[in-house]
Amino acid sequence: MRDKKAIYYELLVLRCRQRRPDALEELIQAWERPLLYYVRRLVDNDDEARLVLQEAWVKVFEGLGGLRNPERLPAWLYRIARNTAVSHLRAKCRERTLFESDDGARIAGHGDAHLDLDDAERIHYGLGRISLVHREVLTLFFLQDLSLEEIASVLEVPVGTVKSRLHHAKQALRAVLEEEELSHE
Amino acid sequence: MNELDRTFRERLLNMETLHSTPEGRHTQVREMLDKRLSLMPRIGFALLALAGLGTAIAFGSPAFTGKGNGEAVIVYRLLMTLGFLVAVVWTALTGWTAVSGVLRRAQRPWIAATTFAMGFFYLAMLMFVFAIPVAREESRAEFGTQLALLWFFLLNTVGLCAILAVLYRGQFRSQERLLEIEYRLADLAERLADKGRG
Repeated sequence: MRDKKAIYYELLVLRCRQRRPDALEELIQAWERPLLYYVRRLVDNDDEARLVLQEAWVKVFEGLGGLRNPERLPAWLYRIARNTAVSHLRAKCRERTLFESDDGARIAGHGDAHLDLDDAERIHYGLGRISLVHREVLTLFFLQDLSLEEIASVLEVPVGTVKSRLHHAKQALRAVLEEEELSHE
Repeated sequence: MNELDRTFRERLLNMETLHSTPEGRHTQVREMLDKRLSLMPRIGFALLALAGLGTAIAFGSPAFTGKGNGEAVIVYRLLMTLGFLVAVVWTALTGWTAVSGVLRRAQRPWIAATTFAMGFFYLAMLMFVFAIPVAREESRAEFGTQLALLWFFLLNTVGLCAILAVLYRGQFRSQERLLEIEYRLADLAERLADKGRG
C-alpha cells in the first residue's frame, strides 16, 4: 500500500488542478509557513521574503497542471521557492556568486557534528549566522518535509553532496553556537 | 523523511517572527494571475467591444424585426437571434475587460469561445448576404449543402468540446473517488498498525 501522505498529495493536487478554491486554500494553509521559513533563510529581509513567496505561489498555481508526479509535491514546492529566491537574489546582486562552495566554512576539530535540538531558538539563531549554502541545506533538513533524495532534487546536486553539505553545515552551526555560548560566559 | 523529532519542526517554525496571512493569500495570488493591461491593449479591447456592439445590432435588427413567413424565414431569424446573443456576450466580456483593465484568467476561455462562435456567425452572415442572391439564381442545392456543412462544422465542434469536457470531469471525479478510498484504507491500516503496537 502507498504512503498516506503520497495519496493525500495526489488528491490535493488533483483538486487544485480543478481550480477548486477550497483545495487551493488548503495547499496554501499547509505550506505557507514552512516555505516562508525556508525563503526567509535565503533572502535578506522580511519584505523580500514576502515578495519571493508571493511570486513562488503564482508559479505554483500556474505550474500545477504540469506537475507530473504529485507524490513529490513538497520537493516541487521547495524547488519553486528556491528558484524564485535565487532569481531574486541574482537580480539583486549579479556580481556576487551565490551559494559559494562550502569549503571556507568548514570547521576543523569538530568531527562529531551532533547537535542538541532541544533549543529551537538557538538553532534558529545559529541558522542565521552560517553560510547560505549551509543554511539552506540545514533548513530543508530541519523542516523535515523532504527525504535526502528530495533535498538533493531541490538543490540540484547529488545525494552524496547533500550528505556532505549536511555534515559540514552541522559542524558550522555547532561552531557558531559554541562561539555564542563562550561570548555569554 | 528525516528522523528528527516532529515537534522540533513546529518549534522552529514558531521561531519565525515574520507572519503572513495564508487566509488572504489565495485571493492575492489569484489577483496576480489576472493580467493587467496597458493602455494599448485596453483600447484594442474597447474596439473589439465596439465591433461586437455593431454585430449585435446587425444581427438583432433582422432577428427581431424581420418580416415574412415560411420555414426559411424562421431558420434565418433563429440564426440571427443566436448571433445576436453571442455578440452581446462578446461585447460584455471585451467591454468589461477594456473598462476594468484586467484580463481575468477565468474569462479567457469564455472570450475564446465567443470569438469562435462570432467567427461562425460572421461566416453565416456572409453566406446570407452574398451567397443567397447567387444561390437563388444558380443552384439552391449547392447553397443548401454549403450551409449544412457550415452548421455541421459548428455543431460538431461544440459537441466535441462538450463531450471532452464531460469526459474530463468524469475522469477527474472517478480518480478523486479512488484516491479518497485509497486514502481511507491507508489511514485505517495505519491506525490498525498503531493499535497493534500499542
